[in-house]
Amino acid sequence: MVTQQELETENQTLRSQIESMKTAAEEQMANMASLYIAVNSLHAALDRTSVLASVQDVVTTLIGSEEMAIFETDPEQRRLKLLASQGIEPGHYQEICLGDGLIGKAAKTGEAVIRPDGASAEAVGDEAITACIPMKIGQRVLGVIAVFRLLPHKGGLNSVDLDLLDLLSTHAAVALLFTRLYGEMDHPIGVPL
Amino acid sequence: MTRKKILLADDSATALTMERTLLSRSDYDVVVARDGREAIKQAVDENPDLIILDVVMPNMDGFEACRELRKLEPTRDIPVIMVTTRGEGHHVENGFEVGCNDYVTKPINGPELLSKVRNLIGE
Repeated sequence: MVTQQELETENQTLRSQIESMKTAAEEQMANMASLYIAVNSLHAALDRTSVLASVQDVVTTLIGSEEMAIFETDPEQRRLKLLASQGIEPGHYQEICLGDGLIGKAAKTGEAVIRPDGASAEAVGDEAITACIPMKIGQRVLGVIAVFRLLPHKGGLNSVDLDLLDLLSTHAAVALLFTRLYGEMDHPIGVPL
Repeated sequence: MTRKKILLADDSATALTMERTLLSRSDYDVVVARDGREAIKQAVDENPDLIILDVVMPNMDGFEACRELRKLEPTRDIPVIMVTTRGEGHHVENGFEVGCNDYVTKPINGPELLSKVRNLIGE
């Protein structure tokens, strides 16, 4: 015979389990929404300035860093040129030779450099970099996104952040290439042929 | 049952889309504003059940907007959640001093935001 006390305990346990499942489902929804919103935001623009602003917005709002730089590889694939930055001293990063430092290395090798724990608050130079993400289409590196220190309350990069960085690698590259090609079109979309 | 209405004010398109997605999927109606001044106008016009205010916005920041909302008769009792990129004590204290009820930090944590919304206005 089950007692009233035992039933109440079981109910409490079930309620707690349901609450945990609900939180897990909401977390899953938020994670999926982050990825969807990032892709949508990157491909919603026709001009380069808007795409760069979208990358910055995604890094700040979804990953949690207000310090970043976006670089483009020159046509000869020798140097990186700074396209946009936020929260860092841009003078130090105007041009970087491929292979130089973490940023140049990411551009040369096409491999992302990631510090999952994030750069420390006191770090400077390459030590202040949390992630260098090459923007790639196929094997061709079009540029690099460098994420420096994370926001103080953000302990490190989680699995969704890593997914977002991976997504930025391809989708930011495609979005930037598209704006370049769109700018070269004789008859942009919306203009009668 | 009438759905609860939430006003979101943020100049970041990504943050607005994220918050709108989370809240509308949880059966809340959502209206949006892009800066502090628009937030005050929308709050008066739409009479939302809750306002989620970003701190850093053009024209009028979230602190100033919250202070104004607390002065106006139609909006003074509407609960406000501040959204900030800074979780340090003094930023949070500033929010409570101008009259916010709670705060969340960016990047937005979905379950945390929804939990705070439910605490203030229910399901």
